[in-house]
Amino acid sequence: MFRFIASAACALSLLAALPHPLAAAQNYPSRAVTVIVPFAAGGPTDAAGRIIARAMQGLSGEPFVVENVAGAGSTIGAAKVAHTQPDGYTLLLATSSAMVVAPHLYAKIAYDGFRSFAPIGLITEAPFILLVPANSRFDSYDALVAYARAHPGQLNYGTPGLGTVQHLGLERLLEASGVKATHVPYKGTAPSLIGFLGGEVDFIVETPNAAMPMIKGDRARPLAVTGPARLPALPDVPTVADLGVKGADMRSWFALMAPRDTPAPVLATLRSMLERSLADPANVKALREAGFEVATMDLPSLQKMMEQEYGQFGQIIKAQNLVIR
Amino acid sequence: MKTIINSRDVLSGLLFIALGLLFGWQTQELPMGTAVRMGPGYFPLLLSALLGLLGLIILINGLRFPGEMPSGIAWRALLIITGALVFFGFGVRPLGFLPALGVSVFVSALASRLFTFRTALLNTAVMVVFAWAVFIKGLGLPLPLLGPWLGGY
Amino acid sequence: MELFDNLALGFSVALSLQNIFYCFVGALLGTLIGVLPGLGPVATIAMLLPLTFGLPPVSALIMLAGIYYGAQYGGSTTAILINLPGESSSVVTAIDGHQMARKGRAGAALATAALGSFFAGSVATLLLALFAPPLANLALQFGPPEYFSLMVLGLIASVTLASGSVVKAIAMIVLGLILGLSGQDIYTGTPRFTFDLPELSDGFDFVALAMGMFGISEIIRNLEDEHQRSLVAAKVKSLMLTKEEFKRIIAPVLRGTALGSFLGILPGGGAMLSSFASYSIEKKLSRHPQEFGRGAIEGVAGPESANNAGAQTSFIPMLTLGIPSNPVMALMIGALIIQGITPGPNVVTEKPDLFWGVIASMWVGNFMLVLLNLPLIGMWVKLLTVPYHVMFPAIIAFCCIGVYSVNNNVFDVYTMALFGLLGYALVKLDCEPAPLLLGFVIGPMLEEYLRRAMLISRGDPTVFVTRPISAVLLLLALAALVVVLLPAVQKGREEAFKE
Repeated sequence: MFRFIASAACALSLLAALPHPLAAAQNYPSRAVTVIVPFAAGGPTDAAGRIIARAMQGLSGEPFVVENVAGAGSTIGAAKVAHTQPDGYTLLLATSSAMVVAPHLYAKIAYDGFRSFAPIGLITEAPFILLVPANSRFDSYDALVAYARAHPGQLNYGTPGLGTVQHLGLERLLEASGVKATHVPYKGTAPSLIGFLGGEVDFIVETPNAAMPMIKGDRARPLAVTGPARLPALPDVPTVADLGVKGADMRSWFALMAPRDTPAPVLATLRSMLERSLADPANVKALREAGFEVATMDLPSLQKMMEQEYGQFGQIIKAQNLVIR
Repeated sequence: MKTIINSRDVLSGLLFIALGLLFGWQTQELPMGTAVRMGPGYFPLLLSALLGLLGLIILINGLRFPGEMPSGIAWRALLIITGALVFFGFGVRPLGFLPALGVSVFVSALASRLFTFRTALLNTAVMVVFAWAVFIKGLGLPLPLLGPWLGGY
Repeated sequence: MELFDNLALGFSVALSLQNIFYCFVGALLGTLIGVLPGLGPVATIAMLLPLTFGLPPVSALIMLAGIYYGAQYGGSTTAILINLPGESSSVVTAIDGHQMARKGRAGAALATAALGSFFAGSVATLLLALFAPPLANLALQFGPPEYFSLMVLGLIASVTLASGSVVKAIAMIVLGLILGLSGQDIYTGTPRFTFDLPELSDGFDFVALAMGMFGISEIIRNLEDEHQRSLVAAKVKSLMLTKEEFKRIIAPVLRGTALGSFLGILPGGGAMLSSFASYSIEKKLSRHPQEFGRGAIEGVAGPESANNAGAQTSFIPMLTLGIPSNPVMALMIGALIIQGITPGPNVVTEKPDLFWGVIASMWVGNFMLVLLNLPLIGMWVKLLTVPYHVMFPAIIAFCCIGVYSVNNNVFDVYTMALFGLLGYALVKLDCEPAPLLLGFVIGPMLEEYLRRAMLISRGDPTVFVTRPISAVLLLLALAALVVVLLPAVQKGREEAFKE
């Protein structure tokens, strides 16, 4: 919170000293705005980025152009935005992994995680669902934990890769439950799901958009939800807190961010545009069809969530010695 | 040029040995692990060694049988075309997409001995207009037309 | 019969005048953009995808099917005409297809690709309609040990891609394997062969590598000796297949279709193997194997059919499990999701009109492609008569655009320049680039599956022989090894006796 006020104040004082950018900020945007999506074109996150860009373009009258800059766990795109002119003409569709995981995970990284950015607003947030194959012997999270406790390290869990939110979150959940299992990393979400459906691993966590089709198709069984509340679509599946595991919530989210020193009036304009975009039922529907439920959050809460996750992921990465050099 | 040794084999053998050594050296700091629990360095080192060994076999074969020297290397084309590509990479951001593309097309045309100023200029113009029409106007790729060095942004 | 009702439903959806129009536009645009050198199918589809966003779901899907087949075929066209493959499967098409083009048979090569693809696509679509769910379950039987054994088999088969020295071909494969390992190790995150460049943390980009090794080095090589004024030395003979050529492609097309249909259902990299597995088989079965690498029509017919059949059946894991098996499928899933369809086991029951509409539109897309491309062949072949010194700067420009636009990163352009140099050096030393590219694609998977198999079996290497499918594949690999090495050993002995 302090950091946010400090950076806002810093930006304001900068503006007071330089009248010219303020004038520029007042008629923002006066030309095309680039939204960097740190993933290859075509995936669901890219789709979400395009929906947001289209909506903001409609509100501002200037083109909002999506540019896909994929690579290195979305840190190349994030680094690119962190180092552009903070004038509001280059924005980032920021994932939780680029904001709060990457700074701990990569010893060499060209930006300072979420601290290099000024948030414009949250776009979506979803809990994970812990899944076992439909023919699994485990019909409850307690049964799974009991087995894992009796057979340490014998169960396998799959993730889309080392240092992904799924991996770190599951490690935290297992640690909070006091058990150990073997990590089997895959090269992305799709291969991890194939491995899961093929019976290579005993359990995984996935977001509802990936999990629901497998649950409905009777190929996977949900055991727990890692959010603060049960999901409307799965009223019978308990949250991990219901199961007595505290402090092991995990979620996937992404937000729109600008470089840290973006002038406050520009940020204000962008915030109001994003807010209006996300309030439009047509956009909410489009995002839902792309697999994302719109979630908004006031800026202090968003800042607090990032601070908190930043600390938690830092701990796990250090404890598991996962730093990539 | 006939020689007693097969220079192409000797040279390619040496090239593979050099690459094997380069990559082998790069695996130095990687944890090896064991065949059962492979570390990240196991496979790369194995392959680097294999590449070096294959290079050695090719080298020895080359020394045993006669063959021809590689000839007619197009140094001029090699230099100019690599230069044109590097220029595009270097220029696409600061100069912008269309200027970088235009210069690269024109420069690479110089690689041909049949180069004429008129054809090259025409070719450049056609390519720039085509790229603009198809990629910028038609498909809306997010490429800056003019970079900051030329007054764009 | 239920199938006919379903297909009738599908076609009633797919065959409205409006949808046929969208399919035609999609196939046309896909071909026209896909044919530009440097723009592989993934880049083409990614660029054209946004055009479908504003359409109603069924029309969007049908246009997408058109774009998909158009982009694939456009890629084959570039591979044949100017020896520039944009994805791993057209690496194989380029080998003999381009040699045919140089002999004035570009028309026949293109017609073979179009007809073979259409036949294979039709058969595979029917398979998809009949057996999608059981085939998906079969695909799930393939675990890490099976995939590892399959990759070993593929690797051995890839030696046959070279027509020169076997040792050099193996060395090129090994070099490709090493280059493929570049990037972060997925099990520990350790960067390997990245030379401290963050851009390399995901490894070298395939398109940049292929454009450099094939496209750029080929251009430099053509500039060595500019007496010939265009790419094609021989006079362009008739555009269509002769009766004899037609007879020669029948068996390869059938075999390619069968092979591609099977490998395509494996989501862990099967479709990618299909085209060159088919090439190896055709080369080994052929009565004139010496023609391979010098313009054998079977070397175009088999792999192109296998590739298209595989492209078709790789929809099976996507439609039944909702999981993309390659980057192109990931794009298609993205497009489906934007249309409000989450592919998965329940699409068939919940939205039968869409499911069957998609399947029918695949066939319509394939059909449209033949309809569109047979007349276009004449135009493509004419392009070859453009003087080379006018054409090559344009090829370079498209390579720059294509390579840059994938990740919007100039690093990929430099990668292309570097591999252009390396590719030229290797070609001058009689080392053929195709095996290197296949090693590059297979390498990371080979290691990934090997280590995953060992991780899951807790270090027990017998999994590879105790699991029946894996054991059979390894036996096949052993047999392939003998077949591949036998001629080389014999030749070596002959040479030794000559001394």
